[in-house]
Amino acid sequence: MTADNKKGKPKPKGTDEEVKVRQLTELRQDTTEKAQKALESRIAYFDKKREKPFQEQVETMVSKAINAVAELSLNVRKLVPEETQQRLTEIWAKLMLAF
Amino acid sequence: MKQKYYKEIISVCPECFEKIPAIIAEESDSRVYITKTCPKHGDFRDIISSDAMYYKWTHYASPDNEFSFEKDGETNPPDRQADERGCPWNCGLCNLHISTCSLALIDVTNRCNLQCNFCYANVEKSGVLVEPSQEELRRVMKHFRSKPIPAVAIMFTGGEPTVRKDFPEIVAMAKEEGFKEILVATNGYGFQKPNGKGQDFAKRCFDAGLDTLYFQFDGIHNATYLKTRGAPLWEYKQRVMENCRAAGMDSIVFVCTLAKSVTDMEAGNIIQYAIDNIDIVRGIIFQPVSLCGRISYEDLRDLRITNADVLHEIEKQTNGALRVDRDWYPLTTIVEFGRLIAWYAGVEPIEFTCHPDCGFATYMVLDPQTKTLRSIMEYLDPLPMIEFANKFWKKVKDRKESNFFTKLLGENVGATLDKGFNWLDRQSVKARFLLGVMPYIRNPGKIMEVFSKVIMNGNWESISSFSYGSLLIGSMHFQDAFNFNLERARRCIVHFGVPMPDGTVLETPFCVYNNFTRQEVEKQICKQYTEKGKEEWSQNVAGEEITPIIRDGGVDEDGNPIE
Repeated sequence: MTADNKKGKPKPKGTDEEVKVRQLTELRQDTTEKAQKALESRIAYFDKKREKPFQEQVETMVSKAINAVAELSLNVRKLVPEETQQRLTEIWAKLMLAF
Repeated sequence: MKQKYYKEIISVCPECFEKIPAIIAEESDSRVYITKTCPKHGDFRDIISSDAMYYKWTHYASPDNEFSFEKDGETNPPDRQADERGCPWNCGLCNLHISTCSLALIDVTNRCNLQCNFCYANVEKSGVLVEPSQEELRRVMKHFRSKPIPAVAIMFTGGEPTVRKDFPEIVAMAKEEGFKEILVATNGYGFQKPNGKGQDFAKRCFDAGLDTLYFQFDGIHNATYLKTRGAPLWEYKQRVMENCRAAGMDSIVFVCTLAKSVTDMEAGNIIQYAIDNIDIVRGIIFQPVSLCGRISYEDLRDLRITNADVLHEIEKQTNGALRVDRDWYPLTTIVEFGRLIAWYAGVEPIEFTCHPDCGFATYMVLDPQTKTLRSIMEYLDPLPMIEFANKFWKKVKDRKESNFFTKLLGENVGATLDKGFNWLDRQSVKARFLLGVMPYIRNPGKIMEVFSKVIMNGNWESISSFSYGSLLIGSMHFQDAFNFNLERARRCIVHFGVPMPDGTVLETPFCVYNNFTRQEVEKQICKQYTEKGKEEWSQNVAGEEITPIIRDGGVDEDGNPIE
């Protein structure tokens, strides 16, 4: 909201019922600090609810490793021409489905 | 796709409800219409989709028909056989039905503190009280849970379910019967009460096992509520939010009934308000208005809004943050994906094998790096990823657990070895799946890590923790007699359960019940309506001042963002 909007525009006349409901024109996608904290505490609550610390550790380790590989593969893909990329993806899918 | 859409279906006459043939076809204005002729009542025509291109895509996905969103579901043994009247007239649930129930609905009362003019279930209009006893409710719950493929989620509906004083006990009963997800479709009555009563009610429901409020939410202006509900409910709605937040009840899904020029202009405001209250809001379901009952063609044309209209309106009002050509997928998209996650977790799957016209959804996820909510499609390439998941599911579904060591070494040592071996096997399949979807991830980072954890952990807690920080946005169009397609009814996954006087339970699809059979069934199960309970809610619609919410969201009457 600009300063002009804040100060300049008079309040619309009429009761709430008479005021036309306005449409949003741009979405604000950031979240507030308070909402962030509430979310983090909720996620921590669910983390705590899992009662298998060893399994949790293994799985967290695997997810981190997979993420690292995903980042690496994304960087490698950027260096490969698109046609080759497509062929490599097809071969990779076949490999992962061969079990 | 250049070829025009054309399909012959079975529908009903909106006047006499007789079954008649109908045609769903794309016309020269690039829209899709349903046309039908009743021998007694003449011609009828209604719009099915305002965007033929998108409609075709949701049916065929790819021009070569290799990938389709039309998915066959599993079926439970039928409760009865179809008779000569067939679907939908002897519905309950017969051998013609081709999906299982993923969401069980029970009307716990038809009393309500509001009197919305379009509501199909209201004691004030019907003059009869429909309010099953706790024993009857348990019978319905057992019905849904005793099927070979049991319903995983249950929603209490009405009327307004929270006008029942024993509502927390009903919730506890559902938990006892084994439902994993318990929801209440509410206008917020019990939760909005001032002076700590609403907070106390929310706490009692939460403690009893209530997971989610399916919260009637038409917008952020009193002017909107005056149009839709006949009362200025904006403060009432905010009290619900505050009381739930204070009670630690943090899973609210907004449900907005959209009608053209009535509530469609609030779509963006609602999304903004949800983002601004993301600590307790998990999703938004837009419901294009279903025009049950008699209505003139002019009124129908004025109010009718299709799923495609909703998606275009959202794109316009969010300035492209959610785009029609990128973000929205039919609910059936994730059938195999859901089965895989359930298999990994060893839990019952929720089957979204409904008709592609029934609903669309997308996810906005909280990016931990930028702390903004963004469309999940910015992070992945959905179609090839889903295709891979479908192929992967075919490989996994018949995979049996090994008992090799048990046979070799006996129950003690052998079984322990088998258990360890099977656990390792399952982990290796999960890791293989994650490696397999890797090429379709556009932007790994923290999101990929969180997603991997959901797959690896796979239990309800992991899935729940993923849903914190993400916003499910969907559009579900329930049918009415004008646009009725029998194929959709046969695939329905949202089923009412009604305790019948003969001790049986009538299980019937949502749209069939509301359009055709509700009145007849309610005649059989209704009780005498007295003045009992009326005063219970009438004083509480207006309430006291509340503490400020996190951020208002949306726009003010001048169209400026509310900070």
